[in-house]
Amino acid sequence: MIAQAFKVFFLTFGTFFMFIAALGIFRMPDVYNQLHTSTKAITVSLVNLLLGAMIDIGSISVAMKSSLIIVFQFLTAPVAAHMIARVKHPDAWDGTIIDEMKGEPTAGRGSEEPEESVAVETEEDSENETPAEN
Amino acid sequence: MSTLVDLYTSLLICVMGVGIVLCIYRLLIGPSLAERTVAGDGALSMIMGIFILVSVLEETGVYLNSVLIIALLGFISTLTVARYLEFVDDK
Repeated sequence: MIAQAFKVFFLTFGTFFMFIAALGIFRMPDVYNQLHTSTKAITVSLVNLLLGAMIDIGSISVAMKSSLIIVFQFLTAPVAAHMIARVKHPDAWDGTIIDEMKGEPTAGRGSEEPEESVAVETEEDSENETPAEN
Repeated sequence: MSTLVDLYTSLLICVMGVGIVLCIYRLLIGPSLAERTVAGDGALSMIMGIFILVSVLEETGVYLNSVLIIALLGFISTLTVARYLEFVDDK
């Protein structure tokens, strides 16, 4: 009876947070807001659902597989969210107060800009040198 | 008592299905590829939740293997799309 009550509590908690994550993905206007809503809510939701499954079934194989999934989710969900957020950083809002990645080029798109500026400076230097010789 | 709890678990599966519908809507209309990636990852996580609830409903642990494989594939696909987005203008 107590095990049933705990199982119902954990499953309800997990499904509630999963639905909150779906609402955040559906409703939030920006990638950052969607990541902020979905990543943490999905992690806590999966932990609660797997705890409910462990309590309900109660065999050792289910407990080991559930622990493996929980550890894997805790390791991989922040990495995936960080990769998406790092890629979207050049398109972020300009009015933020502290921007620790300002001027730091992202791989790919951001790293092209310093090379262009260096090329422009060398052209200006060559133009300035030619009148001096005359 | 047991049938009532099973009925409640089926209701929770229906709620999770509504969440999948919301995620797939964002997957279809999302303006940028990053939002589509986040929505697809969320839909995959909700499929994992449905598998766990079915595993509770049928009292077996067989579906948890599928949950582990889905978690691995979702992580790898998100990482792949993120690496692709570094070299393309996403707007």
